[in-house]
Amino acid sequence: MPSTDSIAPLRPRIDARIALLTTLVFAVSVALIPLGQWRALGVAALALAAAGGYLGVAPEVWMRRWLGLSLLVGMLGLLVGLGHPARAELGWAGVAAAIAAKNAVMVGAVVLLSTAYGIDALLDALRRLGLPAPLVSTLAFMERYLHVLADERDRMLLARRARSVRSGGWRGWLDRGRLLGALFVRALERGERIEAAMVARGWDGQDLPPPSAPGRRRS
Amino acid sequence: MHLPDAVLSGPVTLAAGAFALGGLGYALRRWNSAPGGPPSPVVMGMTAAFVFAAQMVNFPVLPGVSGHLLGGVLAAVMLGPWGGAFVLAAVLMVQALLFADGGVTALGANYLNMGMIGAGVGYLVYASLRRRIAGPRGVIVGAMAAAWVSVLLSAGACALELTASGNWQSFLPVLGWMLLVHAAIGVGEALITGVVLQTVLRVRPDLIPELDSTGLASGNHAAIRQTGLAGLAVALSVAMFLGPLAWDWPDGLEWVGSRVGVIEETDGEQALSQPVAPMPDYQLRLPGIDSLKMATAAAGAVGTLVVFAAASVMARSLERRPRLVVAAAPAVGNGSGASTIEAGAHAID
Repeated sequence: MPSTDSIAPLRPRIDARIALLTTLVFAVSVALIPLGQWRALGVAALALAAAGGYLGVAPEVWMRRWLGLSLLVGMLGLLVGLGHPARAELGWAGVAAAIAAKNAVMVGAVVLLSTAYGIDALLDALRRLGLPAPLVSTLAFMERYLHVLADERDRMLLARRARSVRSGGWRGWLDRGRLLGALFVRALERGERIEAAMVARGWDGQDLPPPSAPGRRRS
Repeated sequence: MHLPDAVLSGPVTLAAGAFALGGLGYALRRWNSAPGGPPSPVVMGMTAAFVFAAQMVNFPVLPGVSGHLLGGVLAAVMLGPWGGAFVLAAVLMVQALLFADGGVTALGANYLNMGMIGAGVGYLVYASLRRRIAGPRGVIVGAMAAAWVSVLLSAGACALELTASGNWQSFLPVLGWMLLVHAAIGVGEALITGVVLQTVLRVRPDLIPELDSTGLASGNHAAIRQTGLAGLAVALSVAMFLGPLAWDWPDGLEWVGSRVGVIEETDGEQALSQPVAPMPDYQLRLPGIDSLKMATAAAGAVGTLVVFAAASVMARSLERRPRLVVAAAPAVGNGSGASTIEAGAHAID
């Protein structure tokens, strides 16, 4: 599982709301650059590199994330390139390469944002930007228990291996499905217990209180 | 299924984004319409965290290709169509913003494909079948059929978005390839959804809500309307599989035109369409395009049979085997939940 935990958020001085909006505007602007406009894309990449330098985010973080995506992007680029108007000028592979280059710059912007700010600051920014409260609460609970459930899933997979369950094919399929089913039941029951405990502490059962100070511990 | 950044053209990105925002706004407005109030954010967040964790467990679908749960129908079965769509929105946002999995500019298209079609349209198919098939069998058959249809429709929407970003002339080959791959993924989605729900039905059947409590409009008229829409979704997915096969046949207007001599046939193309065709000299010819059409239609037929056969086997096994745990758990207060988890977990492990 790709983890954001290994990199402590840098907590830069720029407000997370401004950073979030700037990233979105930047990504949409890059999306609107026509394929083959290498100069415009180069300017965007330079701006991104400058921002990365200012925030002190190492390029390896972005590179690792993008390499994992590059195969899918290349394949989809070839699919879009099949009948793309720019194919006459750039060639089939050229269209796919231009799409991959744009993708690299856009992924770079998102990686920069998530690495520099971290989930808590971004959630708070989304809430203050007016994202509907139910969605923010769902996101906050999701973030809080994401790692708990991922750990539980890994423990269950490990336990399955340790009990020498080596069934492949159809049986293996069924086993994995049942394991997910068990994880789902555990997740929902954990949710029920947490909700009961929160109500007992005086929670009104609606929106989540805003995240506390920056040092809030991740469960 | 997660479209990355830059694959869709600017206009398609903006159009899909606007459409998805509208869909999310509508879901929010219907949020409070559930008779028992909206689902609790704790349960929503837990379901979202589960969908996220489950998406990382890979299932082999074809030699060398593995798929994973998408979770739209599963979330909607547990939380209703609006709650399910919200959960998918949360999952996609976290994946795009924190893990660069699915583009941040493709969020609109991805929410459209997996949230609105996956959870929303999927729930219509599920609800229509569950109304007609009683008990746990209705839940399993309805959810599995809904998962199968929703993955196909999502793949169709994805093909539409990809070709709108390039050129319409490549629509049929792109649709053919997308459906061929997603037929396998759709069967996988249906099977995983079925097995997960089978486990929930065995251990905690009370967690699966009745249709009327999910915020879906109830009453005869609403049910008829929903069944009609679900039928339309099923018909659309059948048409996607069979459409490419019929594409080369002359349509009614062409046939009549050629009979009365209005349209002259020139090398298989309509003479009338030549002057307005954007790229008249450009014809997409790929090797094996005819066998692709046949393979796609065959995949649709085989997939449908597999999903319904597996659904009826799973539903039957659920009715045959007694529930494992509930009788052993003390039925007092909050304690019953905890002992059920333990007993349930051991029974399933």
